[in-house]
Amino acid sequence: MTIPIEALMQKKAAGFTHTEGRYPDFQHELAELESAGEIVVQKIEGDVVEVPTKFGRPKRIQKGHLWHHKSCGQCGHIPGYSTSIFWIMRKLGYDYEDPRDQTSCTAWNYYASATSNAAAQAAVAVRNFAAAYETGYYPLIHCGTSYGHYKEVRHELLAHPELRAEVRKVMEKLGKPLVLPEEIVHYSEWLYAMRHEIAAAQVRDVSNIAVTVHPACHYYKLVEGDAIFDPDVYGGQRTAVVTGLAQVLGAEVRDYSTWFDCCGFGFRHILVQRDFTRSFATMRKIERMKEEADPDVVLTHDTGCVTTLDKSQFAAQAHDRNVGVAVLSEAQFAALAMGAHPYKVCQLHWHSANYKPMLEKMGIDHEAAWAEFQADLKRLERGEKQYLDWDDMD
Amino acid sequence: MSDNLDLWRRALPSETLHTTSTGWDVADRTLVELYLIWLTTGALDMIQEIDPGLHSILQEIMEERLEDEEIEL
Amino acid sequence: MTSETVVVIGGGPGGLRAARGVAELGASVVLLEKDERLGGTPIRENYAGLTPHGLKAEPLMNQMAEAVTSNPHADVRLQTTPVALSGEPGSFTLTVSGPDGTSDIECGAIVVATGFQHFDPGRETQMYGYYEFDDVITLPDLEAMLKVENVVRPSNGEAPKSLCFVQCVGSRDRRIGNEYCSKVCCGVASKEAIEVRELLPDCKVYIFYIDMRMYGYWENEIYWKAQEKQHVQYVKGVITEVLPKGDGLVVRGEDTTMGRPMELPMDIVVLSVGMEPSQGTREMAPMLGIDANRFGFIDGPEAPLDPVATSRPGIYACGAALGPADLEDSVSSGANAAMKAVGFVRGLVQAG
Repeated sequence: MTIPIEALMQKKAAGFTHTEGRYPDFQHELAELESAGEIVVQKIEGDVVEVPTKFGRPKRIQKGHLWHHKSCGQCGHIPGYSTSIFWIMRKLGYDYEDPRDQTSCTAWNYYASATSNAAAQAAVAVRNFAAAYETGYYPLIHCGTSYGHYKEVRHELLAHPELRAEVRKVMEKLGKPLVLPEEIVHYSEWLYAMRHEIAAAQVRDVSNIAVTVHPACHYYKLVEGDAIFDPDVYGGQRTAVVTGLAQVLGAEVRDYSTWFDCCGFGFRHILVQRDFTRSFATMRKIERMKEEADPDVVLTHDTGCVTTLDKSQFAAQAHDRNVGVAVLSEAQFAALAMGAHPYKVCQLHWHSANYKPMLEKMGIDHEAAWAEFQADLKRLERGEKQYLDWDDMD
Repeated sequence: MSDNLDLWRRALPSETLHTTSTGWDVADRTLVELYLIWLTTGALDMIQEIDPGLHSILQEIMEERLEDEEIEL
Repeated sequence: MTSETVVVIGGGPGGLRAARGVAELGASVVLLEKDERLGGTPIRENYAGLTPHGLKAEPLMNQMAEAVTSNPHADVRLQTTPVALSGEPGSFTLTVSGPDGTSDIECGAIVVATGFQHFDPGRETQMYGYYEFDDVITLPDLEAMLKVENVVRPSNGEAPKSLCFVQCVGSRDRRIGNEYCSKVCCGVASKEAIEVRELLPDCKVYIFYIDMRMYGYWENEIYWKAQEKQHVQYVKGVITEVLPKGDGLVVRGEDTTMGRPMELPMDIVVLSVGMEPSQGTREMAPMLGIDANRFGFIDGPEAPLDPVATSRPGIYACGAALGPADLEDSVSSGANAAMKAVGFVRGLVQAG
């Protein structure tokens, strides 16, 4: 008697189906409100890469002339995250704007303590979008939380005329229009879209580096329909960002069972139950990765995830737990592959878990690199320069 | 890290990151705009219910700043 | 000029019953079926036993088809689909495309019986790894295995020692826009659970559910039978993830009765996929000029008292084209639509 397994396998191999019109299309609503004169839509311009999304609609990613919506935690605690993004963009020859005219998205405040409201959150989002619009540069969001939160705000603004009216009133006081961009884009989407250009500029071999990927909850669990899911990566069953880039760079991506879990940050947890955060990050994530995949580095794409997975290991080490693996953003990893300086550009000295074995496997002499960085610091201390700048980076 | 904070921040290549008081160097006007949003949307009032002391400090700072800028609520 | 001919679109259970009904009332009927054979989803998806009694699907569908094909009033056209409609109620011209090209059918009324398709669990929920793990399958996949009485793990061809059903995949889910219950999955999962246990007495079978919806007699016919005779374990709690572990799978979720998280190793995970409008159903509304509801099913504005009427006179719908339906619903509404369609054209003829 035949077994219908073959038919089943064939069906699975053919992949999933898309049904046109299954999901409400926010772009249609954006266009309607724009033509009614209610909002301004900032359009994508210049060279564009199209990427596939979870719900099927292709997402357009603008390649250059981008306005960097920075992340509080990145800039504050792991600044090499931001500088690596800038460095890659400069290296590939794309111009950008690094604005002073940007506030925090304030979602941290909102999610962790609930001391904000829908109008305030939406007004902050629109204020920042309007600030980008005024410069002519297109917004690129560094933080996973800001990205997810702004997409929630977009949904609320499109659905609720009374909220639009309230935000419009605030914007009028600020002398700004009610602007939403055509697409809300996370930096990891830009890296994914640019992965082949990045790989073309690669100078360091990373094929002996084993990588585990932590996909960030706020990237793909909030308003998930337009997050990047690519049939060629995990069969389209998980987000393709980070993994797709690591694969193109030639790293060996290894799987582990708790990929779906939060890093432990949890917003409220990191504030009021930090011991839970530390335990979850190390026992549920890092130890599982070590047991099941033994990576050289954990790559992720959000501020909270890098800090939590990295800095939680410090406490766990004191308890002799099976931890001790480097945690980087994929931006820092890609920058290293493109030849970036581990300290001047990637600023790895701000990280807590031991990243040196990974650098050694990449063929980087970290002692010499540290000496170079120290020499630069001496120049600053001697007053030869007030600040290092991009010319000092190469 | 705290011993080196100022020096390390100065070693960052991005101009906006040469600061230790905020994540990045925020323009004054931007700060004022955020204050205005908090005050007009009632977000600041929500803090009053939780921590009246903190609320009065924040409100004073923000309102004073808006007055300086001659912005009316 | 008014035509007494009724066209039935779709040769599944609802359409077969409608076509048979029209023919038995002495009116001529043209039955259009896009596939090479009649029987609809139960045949195309290799159903084993029909819910609730488990009687074999294929011979029963063949009987339904035979009742139509043997009737001299019925003209069955396989591999044929409608492509355009013109004219007015009572004197429609339906252009169809078949193996011999396109042709026109003059008809007085139309019955839409284009049915549903199973929710594709891979793309939109992406929580259960359907395309990632060989041993994650769907209700119809298991149905096909049960039909040949050989239930094995697709990954290694071995009989499973543990198997679970995850309910409400693609149904009752606001997040993906399917805010309806698909009605049959609780019953079908329980029926399949019984069949698995009968076939593999050593295999432990679990059903993870939000709440079990066992309409009418299904309560006794399937639900209690599964628990009392076959010891199927019903666990109240949503499964959040399916993960690989060794050469098997692990399901994780929350047992809400016990109020604690659970993690169970599992050889096969069966996703109880719900119903969505079939491609044919999605295409019918714009082509025939009738309304669809926001889920893409044919809208029934006169429900509940006249559930087969559509927004346009002379056009009726039945079965799962109207929304999630079990076999009894489909066959009943098929007969209802036949009666309404024949009544409509004859009323016009008599009125002159």
